[in-house]
Amino acid sequence: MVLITGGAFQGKLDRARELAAREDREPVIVSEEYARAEDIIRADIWDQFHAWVKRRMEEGVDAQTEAELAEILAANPRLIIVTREMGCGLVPVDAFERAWRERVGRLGCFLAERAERVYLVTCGVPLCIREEETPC
Amino acid sequence: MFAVVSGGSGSGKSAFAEALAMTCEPGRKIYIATMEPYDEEGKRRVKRHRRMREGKHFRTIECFRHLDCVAVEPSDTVLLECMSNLVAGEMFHPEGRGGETAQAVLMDVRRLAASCRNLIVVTNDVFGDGIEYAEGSQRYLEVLGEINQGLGHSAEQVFQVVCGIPVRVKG
Repeated sequence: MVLITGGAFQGKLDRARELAAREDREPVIVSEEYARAEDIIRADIWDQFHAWVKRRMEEGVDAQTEAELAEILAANPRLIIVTREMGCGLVPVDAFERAWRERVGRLGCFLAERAERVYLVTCGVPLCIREEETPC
Repeated sequence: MFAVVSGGSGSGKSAFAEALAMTCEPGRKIYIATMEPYDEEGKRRVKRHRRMREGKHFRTIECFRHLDCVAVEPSDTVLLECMSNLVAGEMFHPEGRGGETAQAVLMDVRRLAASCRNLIVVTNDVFGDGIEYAEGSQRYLEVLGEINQGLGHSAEQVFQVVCGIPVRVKG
């Protein structure tokens, strides 16, 4: 699995498309907040991870997220996940917004631990901040 | 050694800063806690951080402002967490440094760095949401930004933690 993170509108999805590029077909991209595990398992790119987390928190099913992610990764080890770096602002006044942004941060750590590579995309430039076993 | 660890909310910066402190020479490990818990959420955060530090043999000192009152020994490794709370405590509390916060805090930190063996300061990247806040918050961002720059200038090592990964930006 490859994790791509960075702020909004930094070109994360374009970098993901380049990584997923293949000659025989277009990459399959899942990006709905309601994305189902069975679709994610068949995808090349899973975009808008942070929105998926928000929807699960709203529906009160967030407690199983780590377990579900582990199943998804086991079934689709070549997946490219695109999440948003959203912890770099002042503390939101709204309690749910606070909890959401912290949760997205923690799940980003969870995914990064399991990723072969992690890219931080800034101004469209992908910086590889971790490659399995060999920090870069 | 003087290191600065920055990162956003939930980035894993605390875990990394603690791990960094554990790699330092034997000697007392002092944890300077700067968050004043005002409500249940604040208390939960404090509890979570205490659990993270369990078994790591930190001696905790609470300091919400006036870092100059904290006494350390030359062989100590000091972990200060977090600059964003200390700055709020100095700027917005009647007993804080108010308009003198930036200069006072930087002077306190430099004194602290000079009086212990290792100092690790955790600060917060709160500058990336692009929102133009009301005057008080805007001033806070300006002061914390100035302090972060001063820390980065003095420190031998600066890390930005992203998804639990320390990205070394200095040293």
